[in-house]
Amino acid sequence: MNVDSAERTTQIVAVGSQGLTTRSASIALRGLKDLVRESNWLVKKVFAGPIEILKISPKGSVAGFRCKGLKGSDSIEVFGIEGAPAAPIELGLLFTEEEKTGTPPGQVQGNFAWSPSGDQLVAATTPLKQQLQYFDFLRGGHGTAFGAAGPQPTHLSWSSDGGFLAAARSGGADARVSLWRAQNAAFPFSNSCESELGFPGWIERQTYEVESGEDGAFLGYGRLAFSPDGRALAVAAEFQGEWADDSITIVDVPGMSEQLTHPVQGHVTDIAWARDGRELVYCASGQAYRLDLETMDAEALPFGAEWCASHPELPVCVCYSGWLKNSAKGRLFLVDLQTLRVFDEHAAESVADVRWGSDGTKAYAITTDGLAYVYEPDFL
Amino acid sequence: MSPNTMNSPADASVSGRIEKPEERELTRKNEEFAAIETELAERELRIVNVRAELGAFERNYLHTVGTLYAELDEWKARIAEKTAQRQPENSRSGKAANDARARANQTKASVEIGSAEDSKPFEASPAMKKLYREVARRIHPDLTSDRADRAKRQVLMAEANQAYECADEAKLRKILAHYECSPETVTGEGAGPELVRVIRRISQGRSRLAEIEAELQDLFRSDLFQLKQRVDEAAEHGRDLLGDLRGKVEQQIASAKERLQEVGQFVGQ
Repeated sequence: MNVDSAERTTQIVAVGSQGLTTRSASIALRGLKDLVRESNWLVKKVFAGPIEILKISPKGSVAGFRCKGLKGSDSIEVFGIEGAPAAPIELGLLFTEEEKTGTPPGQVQGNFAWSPSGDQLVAATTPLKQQLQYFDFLRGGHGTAFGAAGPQPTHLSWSSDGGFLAAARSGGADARVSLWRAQNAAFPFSNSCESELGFPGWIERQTYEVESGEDGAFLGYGRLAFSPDGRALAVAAEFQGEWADDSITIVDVPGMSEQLTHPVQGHVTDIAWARDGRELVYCASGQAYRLDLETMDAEALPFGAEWCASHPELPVCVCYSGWLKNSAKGRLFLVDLQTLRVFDEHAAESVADVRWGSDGTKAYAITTDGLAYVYEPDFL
Repeated sequence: MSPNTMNSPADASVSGRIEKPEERELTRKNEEFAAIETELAERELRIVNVRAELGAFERNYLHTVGTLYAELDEWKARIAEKTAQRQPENSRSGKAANDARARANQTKASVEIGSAEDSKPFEASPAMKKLYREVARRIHPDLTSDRADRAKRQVLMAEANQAYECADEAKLRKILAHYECSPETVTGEGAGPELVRVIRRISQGRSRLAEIEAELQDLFRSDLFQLKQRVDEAAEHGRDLLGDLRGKVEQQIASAKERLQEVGQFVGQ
């Protein structure tokens, strides 16, 4: 029998223009981006909302806590801002049986912290109760719970060198900030933390006459941020009542002893360290401020903001304000902290998080409705 | 006469001879093969059309917009180089300047290779499509099991694809005539070997169909195709999206020129 049994060639037909298509791929992508670009901001839809709790990673991913109410179990979903639209990664939460019904709307609490590489995530969400959950995407993304019981953690922060993780908890007299030292690559955090900041003495003296639940009572700890060198932590102490004033405390790391306390006008919504670690930019009740940590002088900056994030190397902040003067519309914008010049403004609503990418070439913002804003300047 | 139907069992039944089981099977397989031949020709036509349309769009895009990106990258490289000159001790600035120069060179090279001033949208006539289908059905490399024949068909098929993309009908006819007259078209050693050959051809044809589908999906997912879709959709609504894009890149070039002037003044101080 004379039948040819030669192996099939993999490329049967010569390809005419495909090689050219590959060569021009980067120029085609630039065109696609520029078509939807307004000024230096690129806007794209990355998920169907609403998701209230969101945190952007240094790589441009977004972790979100999707509350399904009575429709099913809550879930953590991870979306990519960069690249082509893709299905989210859904992370398994470690529920107890009673917790599988989902969190009723309006009772959602919690937060996330991304590792500096963007490959690991720590979650503090309502179904986990007091514990935290650690996900490592380089090792399959399975969750591992850690941390001792206590009030619900409300805010998390991971130091930029990856060495420490801090969790702030509310809970009045039981409130505290716990600090973990990252110990090994496989699972860096143990159940017991390294050190804690408890109920501070100055708050006790200041509010000794105020009963829990009344305006002015200490609620617990909120927003927190590590200094660029990881040796200090700024944390907001929150007080009850619409007109109550929070404060910002600076503690040393890892000792967690109080170094400085700064009274704030209104409630703190965000804290960012300047790149040199000598200044804090913070947002309170819609206004942005700058605090000089050497003199403890604070000045109100000439713009409002609820979110702020410092550039890793330049004296530049990306900010969001939900209320633009005379229009009641929100905006994203950049601020030169040397000249206080505001530039590259862009209209945006319901922004839930802002941050810079790890190399400072891009900034990201995400809204609760799933709109992502990518700031990619030509010249900064 | 097609080589796949020579000495067919159908001839035997017409002549009144008793059809052997392998001859009946060969008839069935030849019918199946004929269907795959037709489908393969259709799919090859589809992918060659998509490639040709995308190629024409790409040449036009690179000419109208890509050249501006090349100019923009050139200005950016000059800015980065001036900035590095301003900060000779800053290694990051030096690296940024090198990266910017490499990018500018790369963009320029891509644009020079791919752009064409006289590029028109690709559109094949119904006659060309019909002819291409016939050529693909007759000379497709995956429709033969003979090693030498397949090698010859591969070369001819590549020439046919080029001729189709250039709308060169005469060349397509020449390719077809050339193959029809070649000795590789003559086969036949009885029902058994023929049955094995046709089964293998069916298998090869199916594999090629799967490859075409995967290749099509890759093309549809490409950024260039997404861009073309947007441009085509906008054109249906009377909007010149490439013109808009040109305007945006021209603005970026204007900003870059201003920035270079600022940096240059600083260096000069």
